[in-house]
Amino acid sequence: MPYFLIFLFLLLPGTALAEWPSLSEEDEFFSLERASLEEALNIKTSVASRSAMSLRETPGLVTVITREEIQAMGARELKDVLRLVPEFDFGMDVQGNLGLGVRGNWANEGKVLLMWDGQTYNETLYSTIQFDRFPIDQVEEIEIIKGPGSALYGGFAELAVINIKTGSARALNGSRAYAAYGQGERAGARHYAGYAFGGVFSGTELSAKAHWGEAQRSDRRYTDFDGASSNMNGASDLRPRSLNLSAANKKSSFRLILDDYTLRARDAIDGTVLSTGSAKVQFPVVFAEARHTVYLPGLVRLEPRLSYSKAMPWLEKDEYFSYDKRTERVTAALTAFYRRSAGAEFVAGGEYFHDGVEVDAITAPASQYTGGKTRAGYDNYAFFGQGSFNGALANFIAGARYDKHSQYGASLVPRIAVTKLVDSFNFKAIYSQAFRAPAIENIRLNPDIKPETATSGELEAGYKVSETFYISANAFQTTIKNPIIFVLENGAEVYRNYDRTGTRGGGLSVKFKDGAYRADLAYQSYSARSNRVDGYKVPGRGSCLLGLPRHKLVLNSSMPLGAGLSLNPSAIYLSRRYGYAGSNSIRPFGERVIADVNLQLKDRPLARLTLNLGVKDLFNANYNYLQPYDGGHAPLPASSREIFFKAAYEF
Amino acid sequence: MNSRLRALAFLPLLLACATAASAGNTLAVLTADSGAYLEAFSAFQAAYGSEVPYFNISQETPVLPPGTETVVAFGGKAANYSYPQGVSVVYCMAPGIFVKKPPPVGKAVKISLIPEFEVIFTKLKQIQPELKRLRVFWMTPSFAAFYEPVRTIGERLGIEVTPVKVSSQEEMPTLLRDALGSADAFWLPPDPLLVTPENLMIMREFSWANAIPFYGSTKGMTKEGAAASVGVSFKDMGTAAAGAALQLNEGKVMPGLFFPADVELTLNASAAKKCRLELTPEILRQANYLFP
Repeated sequence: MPYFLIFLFLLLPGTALAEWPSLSEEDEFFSLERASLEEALNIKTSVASRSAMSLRETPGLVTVITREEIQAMGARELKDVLRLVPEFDFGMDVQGNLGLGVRGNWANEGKVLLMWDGQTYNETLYSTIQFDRFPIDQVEEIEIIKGPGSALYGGFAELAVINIKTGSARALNGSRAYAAYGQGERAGARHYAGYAFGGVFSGTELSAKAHWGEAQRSDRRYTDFDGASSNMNGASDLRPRSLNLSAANKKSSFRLILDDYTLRARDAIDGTVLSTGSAKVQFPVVFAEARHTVYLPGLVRLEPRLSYSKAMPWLEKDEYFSYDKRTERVTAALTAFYRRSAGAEFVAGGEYFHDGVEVDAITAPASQYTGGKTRAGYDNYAFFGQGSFNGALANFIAGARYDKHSQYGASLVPRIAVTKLVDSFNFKAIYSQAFRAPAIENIRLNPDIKPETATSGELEAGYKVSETFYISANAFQTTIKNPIIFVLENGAEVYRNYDRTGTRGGGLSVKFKDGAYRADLAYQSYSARSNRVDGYKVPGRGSCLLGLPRHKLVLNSSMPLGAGLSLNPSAIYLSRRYGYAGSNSIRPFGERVIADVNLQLKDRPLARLTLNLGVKDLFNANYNYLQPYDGGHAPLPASSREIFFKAAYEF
Repeated sequence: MNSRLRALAFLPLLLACATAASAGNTLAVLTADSGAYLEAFSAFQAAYGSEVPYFNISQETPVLPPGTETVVAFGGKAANYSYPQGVSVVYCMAPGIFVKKPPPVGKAVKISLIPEFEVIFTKLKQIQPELKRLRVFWMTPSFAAFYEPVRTIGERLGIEVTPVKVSSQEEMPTLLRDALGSADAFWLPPDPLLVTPENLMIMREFSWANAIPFYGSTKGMTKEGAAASVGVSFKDMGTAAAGAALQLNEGKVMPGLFFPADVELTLNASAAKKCRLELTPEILRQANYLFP
């Protein structure tokens, strides 16, 4: 396979590799000046339309979180940042792995697409994401579509898209080293360190980022439904390690990511406490990618891309379970951008990927293919297109994506959006369909599984009260047909399509920013709608879905205290949730307020040194992650209050 | 000694100035102490006539010594810094900046990165005598202030100047196509949001393919394929900044925008040939650089 890839790389235009002109003083000057201006002017986002539009006009309900905000809040990990998105909340999946809920819908396994520097981090066996593996201190920006994105991004983007970019070589412009330590109530909670380097050499941008970390899920006690309990302190390790290398010139870019994430958990897949110790589950993955930009004589911009990933998700080789499956995905894609006029723009493209899996003989029989088969492969072809038309009346965006999979057939999902900016007001109306593609293991366990499809309507209205004050309101309705649901039946994994589920709801947001003062207050609520999945229901509470709070209020703020010193408090209010308290027994879990506070000191006592000292979960909320489906897992305790210290130095 | 060697020769002195931060009434703040910023600062230092301490704002926060009366800011990041009230500021090499809390009128002066428009358009007419319709592309909001001046001056010289606002870089190919048949040439000011390697390549390819001259405003643009550029060198910007600082220190009221007198004319012979321009001996004599 690698030889095939080398052959394909050689087919790329030779000039792309031959012409690497030197970076002149003038190039550097304009680049630095551009960065200053872009910072002073508007933030541009590209995720919802795949071309640059301002946040208020982009055809999606989009949140952009910058590096400055991430550092000011003293974020320890990606979950700290995502929890401040009012539409998101975390729930318990299996074996110590957490999943995401979006607008009240359980979105684990292939319903949220997460991209890290353009690489899809949903593993291809179950389509899950391991949210604890990402080095938050390397992040430059996070763009989130809080709604379906399949029309452009395909079968993982059914309910949301999280697009994370790390610092580019130009942004780094040198080295950055960081280290952090967190102390919980009962034990050390985490320690990690990292180093990032970036620079421009003879016109080539080079960057290298390394991260090493150790943390634990919790220092509290976990008790399963049978009454067995274990101390998670020292038995719920989370160990991310990664190396991210990139090289880019004016037209081409290359990236290589080596990422090895391991967790240890004493709760088995059915939630029972493992009697003799913790299971070790690994998620090693390698990504390699080459991209190129071609300008055609007709001034159309083409972006071909070739990607390869190899992974061993859920790798486990211990006395509790044996699971060794190696996956590969090869992706070839071509996207074209064409601006017909100032008022019309088009994006179109095609994508092919091949998913392969090889099952090692040590894998438990229940996880093997029947008939002695040890390999499987699937092909997927996709074509997508979107047109944007900026008229005097409004901006219109229409697009669709067609996928054809060798196993489960075809999916066609359209998207239509209307956005309008009138002086200080902005309006958005979006209708879209999306789908969740069955993953390799879904297909193995149920060859007749079908993709689930979501239909969503979203509205947003915003008003810029002043240069410092902005308010907005949103409403949504999401219906999911043929939802793919995971259940355990007699200890065995089962995936089935159910009838339908969904939610409707809305929210309000107030943003204030004046110089160094910033405050964001957001509220989001959902109500179950059309839910016919018994495993998600809360008896007697038709508006609620299992595990996820109906109401969420988020505050994130920052205020200067003096030269280089700022205070950054944040708080999350979660309304009552419902979860299993035993077999067939659902009970309420009370409201929670989780408050954090972080002090940040910049450029003191040394220039380019940033220090953070914070307290996470200031009031020790005793929060638990609930399982939002009937998987037999008792609530998993989150970590206790944590004092967190971080230092970062640029040189 | 060329400007780069001169800059290097000054380096130990500059480093001493930066660390000592000796008392004096002028302070320089650089966006970066390398490349074009250092070249301009070196020229500033030579023209100013005495040591001026400086800070590199990318690495440290500027601390104004007591008695500082004038700050010379090189680059947009340095220009955007909030200097204390009462301090005069010279903005140099900061295209497109808009300062939220500027000093009072007369206490701030921006050194233009280009000569006066009349000088530019006169030179372009010398290069292309039949030039009658000129498109000017811009994106940075502060360039809107030049909308009317360029049209007025162009009209005086017999050139219909059409400023075109670019909303996003992806719009450039379409805007260039729209100019076919309605423009004799197009000009790119030193707008950082538009001066990107990609845009310069697009403009060059369009210009050469359609024989419509692309005029720039810096030597680098000429090197990248503009037929000609009429601009100001970084060295001359620094020299002009020194003159402005000295005048402000003497208490003189300066205009808000100061155009350096020295003009840098650069030509690209290949581009001129592609665009069917004949470079006369007179224009070749005036040129500071001729790229093959």
